[in-house]
Amino acid sequence: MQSMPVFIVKRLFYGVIVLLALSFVIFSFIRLIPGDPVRMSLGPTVPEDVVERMRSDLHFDRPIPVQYFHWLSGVILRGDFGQSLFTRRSVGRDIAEFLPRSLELALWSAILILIFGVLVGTISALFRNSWLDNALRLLSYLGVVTPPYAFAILFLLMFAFYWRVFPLGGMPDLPPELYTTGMVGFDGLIHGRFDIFLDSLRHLALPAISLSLGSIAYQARIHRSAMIDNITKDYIAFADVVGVSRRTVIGKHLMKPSFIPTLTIFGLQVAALLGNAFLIEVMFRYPGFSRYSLNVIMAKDPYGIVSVTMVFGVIFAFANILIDLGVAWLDPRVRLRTGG
Amino acid sequence: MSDTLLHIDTLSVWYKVYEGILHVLNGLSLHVDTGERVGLIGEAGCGKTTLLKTIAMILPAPAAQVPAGSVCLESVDILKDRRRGLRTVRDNVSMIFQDPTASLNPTLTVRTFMADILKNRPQRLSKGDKKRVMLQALEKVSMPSPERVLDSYPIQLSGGMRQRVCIAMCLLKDVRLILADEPTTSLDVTIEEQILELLNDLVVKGGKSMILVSHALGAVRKMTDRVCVMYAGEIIETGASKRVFGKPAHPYTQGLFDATPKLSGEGISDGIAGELPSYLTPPDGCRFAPRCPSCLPICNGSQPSIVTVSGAQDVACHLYTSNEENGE
Amino acid sequence: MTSSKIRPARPREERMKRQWHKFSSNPLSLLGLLVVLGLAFIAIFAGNLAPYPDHAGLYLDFKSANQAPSWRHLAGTDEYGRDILSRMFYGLRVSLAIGLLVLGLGVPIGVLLGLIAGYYRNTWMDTAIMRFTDLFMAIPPLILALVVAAMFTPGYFFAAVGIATAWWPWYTRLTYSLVTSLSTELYVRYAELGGAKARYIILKEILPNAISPIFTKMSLDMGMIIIIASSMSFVGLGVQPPAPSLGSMVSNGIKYLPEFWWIPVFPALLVVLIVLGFNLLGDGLRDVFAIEEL
Repeated sequence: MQSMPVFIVKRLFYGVIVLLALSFVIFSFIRLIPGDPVRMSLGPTVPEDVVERMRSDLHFDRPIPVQYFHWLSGVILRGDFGQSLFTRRSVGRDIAEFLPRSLELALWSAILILIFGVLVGTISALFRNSWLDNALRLLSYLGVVTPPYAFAILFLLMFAFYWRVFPLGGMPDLPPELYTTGMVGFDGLIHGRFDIFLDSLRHLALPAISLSLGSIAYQARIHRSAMIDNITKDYIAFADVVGVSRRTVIGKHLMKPSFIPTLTIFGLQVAALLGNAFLIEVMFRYPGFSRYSLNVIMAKDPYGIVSVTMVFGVIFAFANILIDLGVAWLDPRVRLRTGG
Repeated sequence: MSDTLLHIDTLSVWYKVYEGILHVLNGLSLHVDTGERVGLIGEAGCGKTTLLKTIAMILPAPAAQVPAGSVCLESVDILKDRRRGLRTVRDNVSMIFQDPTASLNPTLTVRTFMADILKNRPQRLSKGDKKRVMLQALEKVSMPSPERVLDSYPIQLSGGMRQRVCIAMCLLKDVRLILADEPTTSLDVTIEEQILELLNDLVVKGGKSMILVSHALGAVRKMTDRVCVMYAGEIIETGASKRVFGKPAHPYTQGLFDATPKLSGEGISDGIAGELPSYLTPPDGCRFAPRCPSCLPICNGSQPSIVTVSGAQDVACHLYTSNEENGE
Repeated sequence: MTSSKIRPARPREERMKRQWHKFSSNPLSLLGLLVVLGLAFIAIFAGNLAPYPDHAGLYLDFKSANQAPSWRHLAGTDEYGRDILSRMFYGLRVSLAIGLLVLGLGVPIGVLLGLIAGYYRNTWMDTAIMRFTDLFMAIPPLILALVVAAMFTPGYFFAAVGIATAWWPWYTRLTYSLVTSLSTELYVRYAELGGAKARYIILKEILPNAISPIFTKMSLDMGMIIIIASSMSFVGLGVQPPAPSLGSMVSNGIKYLPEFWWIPVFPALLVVLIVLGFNLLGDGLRDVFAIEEL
């Protein structure tokens, strides 16, 4: 479809503009709030001229748009996200250190949500109104109303304390020679270090499950109702009549259109994932990007906050574009309407 | 004497709904011989689609119940032995639905859909063979630029083309019976004739049987050997098409034909007053009695049995049962 | 044929009776309503119902610290000897208050902007407003709420402000889609009657029809908002100690797992109950008003 590349480029372009605007708004917002972050970071005993010098180093004495421009050009030209007043290091370095670990957690959670959400929803729909379906629906409802941190407590109690199956938290560091992407399990895997990979799974299990259970339940409900809505459609009966095998009818003819609302909702799940990761990382003492972001936010660290917000924005926008592409691939009606 | 392909005997089909049970089909009997084209006419809601769906075994599973009757296809009672029945039906019956847009899965190309059908056939075909078979089917339904259509999604095709695609898909199996449920009702009038002629052509040339449900009474008259008139879940009149259309016996049929505009300019009647009875609490006697202009007192009490009138025409109406009893 | 989205102007009483009948025929919806009313009751009269009302403030009694649930303390006591059940009641009050505050701030703004965007449809104002909402939806809501709330002095008001900042765009979008989908049909109708002003149509016709979906969404949102609010007090941005809030009770209590499990578990269960109640209620409302958009 010739409209597809155009579609992607348009979305990317628009996404970039939105993120730029957002970063400017947030940056201005932070700088406008009264308070002196430099003084707060350095503490009360540091002499004033040192604080002055730091302020001018960070361009805090210039008008806000200028500050923003300096930051932005730094990001674009040098990949320099500025200095964090919180960790006293370059924010870029902080991001590089913490982000891959959170991405690893987020990816596993996303995989769990998509696979199990669809699985449970499909089983529920196919065995509609049976005891299995009712049990799954009840569990799904409970899953939707339980906040992830409640699940985390439950799992900590059950699997970390009583039955010592999983560790209490944290994540082992990668030996530096294996560092490729920064994702512990992935790097371990591609270097053939299965032990590291398994160890990473052990540490990821409880956090990932706590994060994803609520979303799995939500996805399952959406997918179930999509399948039930579609199973009565004419095109399923026609496929049956005209001779398509039952397995193909359910596995392809029914699944494909049912995936459309499921995938669309998945975007919300990603947003929830990114948000809830904060608490989960804190609870499991997982050394991730969300925990870092939280600290940076609480410390009112300007460059830290704006950089961190941008990273979340980019990840979120990227995920949404992927999802939109997926929906467009599934549903030709969407494809053929855009670009026109 | 051609043999009977499909034989339905005193079939009753009920739907379970929130308010109770809908007694839709009521002891209905029907048969179709090999190579015979049977028309099925009646107003909306009289149960024609339910009947076809029962034959095609695509009734909505939990809600629909078949408390009585038998449906024998190729001497297999599909109601008694579901597994064997399902195989027999899938091998011998195809159905065309009313709305071609709803019949085609919007997320699949024609090629993918057809490939799925062919995958399930016993013959093993190579990829090239499959494509050839698909194109052949499309050509048989006079599809312009079949190659392009093959790789198209339903949304890229016009209504008429979609219906042709549906017909082509029915032809991928060598079936003996085609069920056509108002195949042209949702199409343009200009295309209607083309599609019906196409259908008729394929049926006759292929030696197939057909049950044609349509509101286009003129087409039914032309295209069918026999016609059944349905009302409220029962067949109230049946006979050779020429006979029934020429001299309708049942008051309902008469009313139906009177309400049809004719080119001879006789004008149309005011229609038949009233509406279909409730299927929840159907009347005890003749289901048409409340609306019948020639209603007799006996009509409300007892169901009329089927009586042969003048040779090849059967009617279920007390007007004729009394005649027969009186020896006419 | 008129759309089913526009309800005919039947006498309000008759309509509401039918809606209540439909709502009450579903036991789950009734359960939701009951739970919500019960929780509201407890929240309002927390002072009278709590067995140990002064434990909600500064209170130290290390002799009674960390006691397991008993008849004297149905939910046990925390590390300062405070009765957890009483603190839960006050925490409930805070949670509901934040929820109402968030909706009270975010919904009017969101709906207003949505109405304006819909009224000035296809002009620069429409585009400007909708692009503006895109801005606020570019990052996950909790993060935006944290950033906003962290900038001010910690407290539950600013926590609510933060969440409201992230929440209003959804109401703008909902209102906008309602306005656009309803107005096309109404304009056709009113064109025949000789052109009524757009403003009249929006206020008198569209708004009453839009209230049900908006109201339903508010109920469904309460659960999520309360979870987010408890997440924020989990990290310290909500009500400040020693005042109780469910989220901070959970986060403080985690370090006492597993020996004094009741410290985090009961507040967490209460959060689940709150969300359950509002979700059941919202689902029931959605069924009654037969809203597909939600």
